[in-house]
Amino acid sequence: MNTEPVVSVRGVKKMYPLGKTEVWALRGIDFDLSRGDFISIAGPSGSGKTTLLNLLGCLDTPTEGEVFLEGVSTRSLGDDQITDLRHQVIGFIFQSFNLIPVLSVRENVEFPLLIGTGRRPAPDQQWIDHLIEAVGLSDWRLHRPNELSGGQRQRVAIARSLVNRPRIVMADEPTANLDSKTGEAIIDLMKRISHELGTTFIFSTHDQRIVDVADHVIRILDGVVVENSLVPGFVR
Amino acid sequence: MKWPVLWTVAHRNLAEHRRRTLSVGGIMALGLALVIVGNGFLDAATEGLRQSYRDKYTGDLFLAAPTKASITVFGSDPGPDAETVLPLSGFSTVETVLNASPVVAHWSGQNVAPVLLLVGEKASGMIQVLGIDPDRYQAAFPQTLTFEQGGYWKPGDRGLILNADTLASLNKRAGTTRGIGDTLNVSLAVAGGKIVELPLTGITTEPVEQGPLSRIGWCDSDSLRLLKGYTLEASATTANAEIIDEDALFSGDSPDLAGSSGINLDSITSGGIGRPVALTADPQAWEIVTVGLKNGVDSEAARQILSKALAQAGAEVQVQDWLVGAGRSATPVVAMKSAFSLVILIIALVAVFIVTNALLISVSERTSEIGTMRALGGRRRVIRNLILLEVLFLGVGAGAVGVALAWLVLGLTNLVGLTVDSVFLQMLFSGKQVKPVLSPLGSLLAWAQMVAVALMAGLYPAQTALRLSPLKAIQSD
Repeated sequence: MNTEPVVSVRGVKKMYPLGKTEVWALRGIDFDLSRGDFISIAGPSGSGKTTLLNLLGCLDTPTEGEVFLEGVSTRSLGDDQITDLRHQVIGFIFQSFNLIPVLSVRENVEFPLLIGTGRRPAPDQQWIDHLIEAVGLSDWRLHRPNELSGGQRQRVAIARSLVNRPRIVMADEPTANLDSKTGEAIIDLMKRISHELGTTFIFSTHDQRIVDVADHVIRILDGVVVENSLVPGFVR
Repeated sequence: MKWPVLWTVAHRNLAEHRRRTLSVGGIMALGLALVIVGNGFLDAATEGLRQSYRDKYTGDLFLAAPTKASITVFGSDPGPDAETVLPLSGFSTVETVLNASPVVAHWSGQNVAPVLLLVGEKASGMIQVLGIDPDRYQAAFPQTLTFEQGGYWKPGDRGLILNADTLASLNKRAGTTRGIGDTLNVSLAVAGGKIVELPLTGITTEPVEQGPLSRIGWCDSDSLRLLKGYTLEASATTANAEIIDEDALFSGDSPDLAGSSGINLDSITSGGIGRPVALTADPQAWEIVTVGLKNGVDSEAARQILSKALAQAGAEVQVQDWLVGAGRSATPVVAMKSAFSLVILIIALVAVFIVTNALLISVSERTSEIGTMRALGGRRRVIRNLILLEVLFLGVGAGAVGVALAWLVLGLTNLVGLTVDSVFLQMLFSGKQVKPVLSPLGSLLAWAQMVAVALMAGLYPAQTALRLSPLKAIQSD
């Protein structure tokens, strides 16, 4: 079994210029994340958790420090290489779902398979159908996003995030726009998929229900890690 | 594998934003229709002018002696730079080259001069007269002269052909009723010019009143040569003058020019009002040679071939195309073409502005979608291709509508018929009926150009979309 951390963060700082002042969203972060974990990055609003998730997902670059994805430093990569890395290694679930409005459920799920670089085998249609079935949207596969409820859209986003068989799925507040019942169903679904596929899930959240089911909790306050704990009894 | 999904997203996006697509596409379609319709009329004007001038007066090309002034087949274009049109030097060489050229179908020489028409010794009108060889002229320009009465003079005879309107005007001024067989005195329109007496052999009527061209007459080439002094005697004198010994000129012994050349000086200085001209016209003296090309020969290529051949043969001749030969008469079409090019440029700029703005709005409205594509692994070129694909669809679709609209307008115009009363427009379109040209190739070309312009207009919005970081795009929601 590969015991190398799937994600390593070393001395990461992130500064945003705000007029003439510098706002440090992250002030020096270090941690390792293990393969297959269900990881929660928790903290109050403004603590820097979304900033950290963006850096882990290669959507942003740190001002200082380095992020390693599967041992590869993301600092030295160009835009195309970073884009390809995102495509091949990471799946995303966004707070606002971010589905392509003109595509159907099935087309949205298939979309990441079609826009990547290089010659790739034809998309595995059975896998796409399996994912749609797994998130309970078999009857909605031909519908457009504007015909779905918030929970259904988030399910489409979950299926889409997994279609490339990524090693890591980043989820930014995946339950923030959902009612509590739907939120719980979504959490259960992601937990189940994590166990079934061995996918590492990294959440930015202040939803205690996600924190409660996480294998690894990283709590952030004012841009620094105040808690980095593995759930007691979790066997790796 | 990317293209099918981009194809799907692009056309569905256009359908999704139907109102914007229809308004931008509608403007593009109208612009293209305007360009095609305008080109249809412009092509008709060019064809009309071609029929009015090239087939009747100028030929495909024309030859003249090199000059800084603007020379046309009707003489020197009036203006501050106007020059006397001189006969071609070494015409026999020119004739040899033309007869041997594989691109030349026929040629015809002519001399040109503004002349006074006199009844008795009283000037009654001024016209531009072309001195021609009737056989060659008929072969070159069979459609030019439509005779109401009479016809060309017999070979070796003298003769004058006038337009019916010109003759009527002349008779009205002089209070006469001159007609076929009567004689008219003709003199160069300069003080003290010689006079020749010419029998009126033909009266023409033009199918279209052609403004300035109705004031053209035709006479036998020798009569005009004599009026202009293009005589064998003058040619011989010129040739002799070149070999006069300089020492003899300044030795005190005046050379006997007449004696040495064998020319009767009395005959050279003869003429003047009322006196018969007793000189021999130089049959090689032609100021202008119009050239008709063989079918399918490109006139510019032929111009270069002939220029080279004539230069190699040692003939100092300039070869020009028919538009130059038509002179200021063709200026309106050239001006219209320039004006229309400006209109096309304005349409293109407006199209660029509209398409660019519409796409910029579209990009700003879709930052989230674009950012999502980037986050999910779409490289920058995927985004650029998506936006350009939308422009391509818009351009192709709007173009199809524009072409259909233009052809409908042009087809209806041809079917119903558009009649013009203006003399200028009749000359421009070579008749009272305007028949705009429906050019499939021209339409396709305009369509392709519009798509190209639209794609160029899409480059800046595409570039703007590429600058969006996936992070900011996602945060825009």
